[in-house]
Amino acid sequence: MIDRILASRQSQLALFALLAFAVPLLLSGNRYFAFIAGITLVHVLWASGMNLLYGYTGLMPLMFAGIAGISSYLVVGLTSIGWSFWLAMPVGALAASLVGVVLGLPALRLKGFYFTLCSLVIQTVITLAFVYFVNLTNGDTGISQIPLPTLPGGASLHGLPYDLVLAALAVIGVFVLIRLVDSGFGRRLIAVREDDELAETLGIGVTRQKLTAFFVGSLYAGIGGAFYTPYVGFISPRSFDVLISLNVWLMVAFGGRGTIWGPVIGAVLLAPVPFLLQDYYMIKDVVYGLLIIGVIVLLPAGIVGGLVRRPKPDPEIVPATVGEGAR
Amino acid sequence: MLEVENLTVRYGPFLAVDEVAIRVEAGEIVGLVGANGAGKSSIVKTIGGVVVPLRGRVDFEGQDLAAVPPHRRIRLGISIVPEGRGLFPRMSVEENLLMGGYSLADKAQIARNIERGFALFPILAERRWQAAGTLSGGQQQMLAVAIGLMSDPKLLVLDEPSLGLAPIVIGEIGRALKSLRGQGLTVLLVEQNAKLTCNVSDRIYIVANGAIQHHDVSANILSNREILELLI
Repeated sequence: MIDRILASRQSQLALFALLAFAVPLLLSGNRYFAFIAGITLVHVLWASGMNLLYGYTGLMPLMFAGIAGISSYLVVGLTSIGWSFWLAMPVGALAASLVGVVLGLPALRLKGFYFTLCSLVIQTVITLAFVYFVNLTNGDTGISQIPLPTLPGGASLHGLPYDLVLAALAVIGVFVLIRLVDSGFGRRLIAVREDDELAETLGIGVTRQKLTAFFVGSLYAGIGGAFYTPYVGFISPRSFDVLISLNVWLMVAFGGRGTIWGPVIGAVLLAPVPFLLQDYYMIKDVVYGLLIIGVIVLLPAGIVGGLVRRPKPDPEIVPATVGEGAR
Repeated sequence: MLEVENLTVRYGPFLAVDEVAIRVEAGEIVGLVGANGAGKSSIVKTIGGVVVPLRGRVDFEGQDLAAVPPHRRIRLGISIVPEGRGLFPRMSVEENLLMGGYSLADKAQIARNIERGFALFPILAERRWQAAGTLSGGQQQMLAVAIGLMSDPKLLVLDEPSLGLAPIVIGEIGRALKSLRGQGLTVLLVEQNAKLTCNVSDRIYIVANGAIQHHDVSANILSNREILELLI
């Protein structure tokens, strides 16, 4: 019975929403743990965006963090000249996605390894730009004491309400991903991922699909970046370097690319790791490395991808499973 | 219907296709026969637009295809079944057929075409929900042909449909091609298997070293020992 209920995506989403809102509430007594939960929720959003690109389109965009960074710096800059966060956030995220698409335009004609390599170069250039334009970004020193978003009443968004906003974002992010993946657009992306030449032959404009996916994925990066910034209160070029891109990618690969819930689980498991291992920073990277190797060897399709077979039901087998459920 | 003129394709220093000319008239089945590496697939890829020729032109129904991007060609009525892997292995048979009908807007038409594919190859109906990659080689090739037919093409280009298949399966695909011709479809059959090609085609082009070596109606090719030996 419970199996059957969990099989539908709506109920999975409802369960996830329940957990996403409940965890910050339960942890609200301990600001540190609640903060870890908030950061994890931002990573759920990022991993969902990365999943659209890496899991469903077959692109591995190593400039993902760079795009989040562009949005983040834009939001800080715009709020510092008096814009409201709620206006600066969509403008920054949208602008970052557009910049990302323009930078990515030549790369999107490439595929597989070559795209990844090209995106690595773009990420490097973005990071260098963050360091170089000192009067906009404060260079390597970074920007601290970033003001919190203000609410209509004049109060600032902080603590539990901010956590809940991040929870809402994560839920919306997953919801939008589900809708996209189940749509014709999602099927086209999967076709492009599986065999782009055949997809082209069948009439799918591959470059256009990749571009659209890239824009949407960048929006995830940008919106996540915009909300991450005041939450943490400090950004520097290090906050959005290639290692962050790789971290988000790892969450997708670890959890199970091309599944809705794999990357969510990957983010939930991996995002808190750096915090939990803070006292053991000597072995932190070792633990991380062992995790990666373990997953690649034992579950190459990721946790969810390795445990769950294709969900498509075979009508001839359905009676058997119904029988099992009744037992 | 299809007119290929002076087609020349070069990959770096390697000349893959050298001044090739091919004509396919409406309602014909035309065979393009040659050994591995003769340049057949390069010709197919140029017709599909995936490879850009160095020289020459490809006309379809009087229209020069040079300015038509690959994904637009299926809407003109050219459907290509690529060599070896004309399907998405991880999608089900039905999802594959749906992808084949991507260029059609009318849902009823897509449903009709799926049923037509199942009528042509009944085994596919039995495997409707199965992942295409788990089908046998012959079933996969039938599915690839069925995908190619989903868009209601005027011209179907088949690249090596018999590759690695048992003779009985080749026979079935040959029968299907003949019945399709009866329904007014035009076919360009690109093959290594000379026997299959001669049995179903009206005319044959023989290609070797990137150039057309010989061109005749199938009956003459079959009765010409010299040519037959060249092919076998």
